[in-house]
Amino acid sequence: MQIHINTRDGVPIYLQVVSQVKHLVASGRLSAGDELPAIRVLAEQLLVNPNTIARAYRELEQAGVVEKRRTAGTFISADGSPLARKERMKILSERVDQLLVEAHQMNLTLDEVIKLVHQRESSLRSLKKQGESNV
Amino acid sequence: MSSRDTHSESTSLSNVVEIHRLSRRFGVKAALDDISLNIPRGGVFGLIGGNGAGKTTLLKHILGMHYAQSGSVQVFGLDPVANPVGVLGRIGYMSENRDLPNWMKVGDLLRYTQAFFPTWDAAYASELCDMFDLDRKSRVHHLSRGQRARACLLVALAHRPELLVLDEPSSGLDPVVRRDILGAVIRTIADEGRTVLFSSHLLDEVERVADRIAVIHQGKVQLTGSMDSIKDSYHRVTVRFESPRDQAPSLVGSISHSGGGNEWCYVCCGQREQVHRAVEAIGASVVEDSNLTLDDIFVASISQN
Amino acid sequence: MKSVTQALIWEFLHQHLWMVLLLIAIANTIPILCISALKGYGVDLDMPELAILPTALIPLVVFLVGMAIAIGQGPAARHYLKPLSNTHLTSTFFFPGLVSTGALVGLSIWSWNLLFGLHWPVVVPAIYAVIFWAALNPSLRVAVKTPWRIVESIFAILVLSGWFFGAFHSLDKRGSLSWAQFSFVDMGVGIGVVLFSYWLCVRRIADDRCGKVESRSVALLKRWLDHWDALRGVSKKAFSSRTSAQTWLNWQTLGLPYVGGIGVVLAMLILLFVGMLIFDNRDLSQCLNEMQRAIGSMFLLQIIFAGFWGLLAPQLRLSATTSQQLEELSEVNRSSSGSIDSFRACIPISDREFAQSILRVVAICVVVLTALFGLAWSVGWILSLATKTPLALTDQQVGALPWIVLGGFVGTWAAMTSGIMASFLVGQDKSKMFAGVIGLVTAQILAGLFLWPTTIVIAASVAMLMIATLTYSAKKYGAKSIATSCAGAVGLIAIALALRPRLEEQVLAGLFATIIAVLAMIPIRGLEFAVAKSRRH
Repeated sequence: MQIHINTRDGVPIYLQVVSQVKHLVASGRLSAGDELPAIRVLAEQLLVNPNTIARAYRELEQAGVVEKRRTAGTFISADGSPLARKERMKILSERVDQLLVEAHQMNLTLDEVIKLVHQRESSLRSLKKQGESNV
Repeated sequence: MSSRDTHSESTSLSNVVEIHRLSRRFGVKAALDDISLNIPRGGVFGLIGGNGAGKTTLLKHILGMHYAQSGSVQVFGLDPVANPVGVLGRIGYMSENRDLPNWMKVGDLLRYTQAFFPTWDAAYASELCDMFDLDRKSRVHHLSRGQRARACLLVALAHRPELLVLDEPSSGLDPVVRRDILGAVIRTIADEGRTVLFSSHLLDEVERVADRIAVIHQGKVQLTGSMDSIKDSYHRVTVRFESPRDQAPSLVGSISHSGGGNEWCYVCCGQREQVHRAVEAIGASVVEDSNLTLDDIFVASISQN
Repeated sequence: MKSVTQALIWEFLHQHLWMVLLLIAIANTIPILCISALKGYGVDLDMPELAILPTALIPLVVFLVGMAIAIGQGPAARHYLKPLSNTHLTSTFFFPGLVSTGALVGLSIWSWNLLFGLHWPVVVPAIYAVIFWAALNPSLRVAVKTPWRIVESIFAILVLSGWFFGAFHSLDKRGSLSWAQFSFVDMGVGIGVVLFSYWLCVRRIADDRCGKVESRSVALLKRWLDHWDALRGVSKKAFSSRTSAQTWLNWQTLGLPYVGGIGVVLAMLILLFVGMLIFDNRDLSQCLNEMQRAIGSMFLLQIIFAGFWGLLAPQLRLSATTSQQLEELSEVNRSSSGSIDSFRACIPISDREFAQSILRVVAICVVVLTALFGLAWSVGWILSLATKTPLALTDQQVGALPWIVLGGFVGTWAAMTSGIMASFLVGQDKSKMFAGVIGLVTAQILAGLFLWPTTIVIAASVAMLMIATLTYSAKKYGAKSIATSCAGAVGLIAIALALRPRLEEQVLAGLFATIIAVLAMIPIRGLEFAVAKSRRH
């Protein structure tokens, strides 16, 4: 699990951990049932206060992203929780915002952008098919 | 009298250091001016302040090197001046200059220091020695600056102190050694009930590891509290006015401002909702609201007075 | 500042003046003690036989004064980064150093002449001081160690010993001091030595400045030493207590160099005497007899010099770098650094344990010093048996011998401990001189050189001053002060008795012994409070 802490933009560290874990879950790099590192281990790895990590884990638990199992540790909770879906939408909308801003800068209309999205989707699908047939 | 005693006993369980209305003068210059500060047991307490702000003088009081001119200092519920063995024996201390007896070998240093601490853990000392790659046979003055800092840290840690005091631990060190020091701080508080007190100029380090901070400026505590609450109470809001303004309109709770024309940027202290309400009250709208880094908060809290 | 030299002199005066003055005071102490002791014994100092006295003492003062100036100026490497050419750099410290050395040596001898009514030469020793230090400069100033350094040192030693033996050798023949005269040939040789040394200095600095590596043999030697050092390993034995650990530290850092330094000086003095006698006497038995006279007289040095040990002792205080010194440091530049600077200041040790560790080191020093002087004396004693002549200077006072030994013992102890205690009480760096003077006065009185009521009053006042400060400190830090109060009572009685006119000699001696006892006892309890005062500000 790769998390990077940045103290330059003023976002509280626990929030950075929370949003990065959410991001990892939403993007599929962490999947349901994966175990998160112990608080102390992650604290030493990131060189941040263990209490901060504990707070981040608490927030993640409240948001339903992770669940604590007695004596075992902290795990990513089962997929499909409404909150996880909401989070995905949030991440995507940020990306879409960026895309739309750049499109506006380059004088592309919304229709052209949507067309481009469809194009890319089909080319990615054909790539995926090729890959599967190779295997 | 007896009620006061029970009071101090009950608080000393939760507070490692209690400083009550402490003042200190050197000649005409007031180094500490009516400081009251409690450092709770467990966790990392960061002491921030500019050069000559009084941080070191404060640490000296905690270490019992200064008696309190007025006010009181209690460490573990004891007076550090009257009881140097009882207090210093439970403290691990690393100084900014990392001054160690140069002529000693690292092994001699361990042997010498061990005599002073009944709780010295020889196994832990050798473990740290290996981890820091320190050769017991090499002389202290042959050590590089980083290795010297590690030796200093080793001596401060090996008796598993209840309170670890670090005075500017990272100044002038490379990132690898800094990581070692921060790692040691984190390991120390991960053990239940142990406390770290450290002063630093490197505020991103403080932001990473401290859960409580105190800002000291010109001998006064300018700001103290938990890191979270302090970070929550400072904002940078960018506000937009309908028409351009020559001067920044005064905003309740703002500390400083910059900008011009339609858009002005304020650094504010207070609850977010209050700030937003104040912005509406002067007829503007919030365009952006972001958190401050600890650097910004430090500068803001000093310029506040 | 108009010139570099001016700037350097300004820096020297501002930064090192006190230390240099202290060192020069120490340099003057030995001769003054010797001369005043001899005067006290009623010796006529203008006797031709005593020409050996200036011959031995003047080189000593030349060496110590030159050392003080050199230490004050610091190593040449300090100036390597300044925009100066090699010749300019060398001349900034070379010539001012020589001039001030010569002037201070002349001033020292002139003041002895004035104080004791002597007729010792002033100008010529000053000129020799300049020549000698010029010869010593190249090897002293440059950091890189090459075999050349040894050659240069030998050159310097040759200059000094040539002068010294030349002067001493002609004592018998002319019956006066040869270096009272100064010929044109001497002048020419002297100027030659100075110029050659200057040239050597410039060359060595040119090499050193661009980082010429040390020679292979030196590097090999260093590696071998390191290897040996590593082989020796580290002792694994744990200390039994905090006090023993602190005693070990104090002994290693200061006790050992202190005693070792004195031992080396003593050995050198003996060798010098022996060399002089062998050089000067053809007849063996007469030679041995002279030797035992010279060495036997050394026995008295410990007692005469008790004050000197006391003056040196405050330096031992450095071992106890306590917060106050650091405070002074940080107060000077509070804004720039202001850090807590001591590993040792934060060691959890009580004031009593700290004081005990110092007292233990002083005790070891006194024992070792006495043993050293005893050893020197036993050599003289064996020689006196061999030549069947009575032992020098002690021959009339064999009965008093145990008392002299005891006096030396107690006197050295009292001088050292009071010196250290005073330096703790006074605290500030520049007042070390004052502390040293207290140790000196104490010891001078103890050495029994002036057995007058006035000195007893002075001794009692010193004792009272210390007791008052100690009682104050003891109260301030909440310690019991019964012991100090008792000592205070004794001091008061001593003063009251001393102020009564016309005391019999035996009463005086009794008083004297009381004060010695008090002064030797005070530090046993009092040092603790002195440490407390110094440790916490």
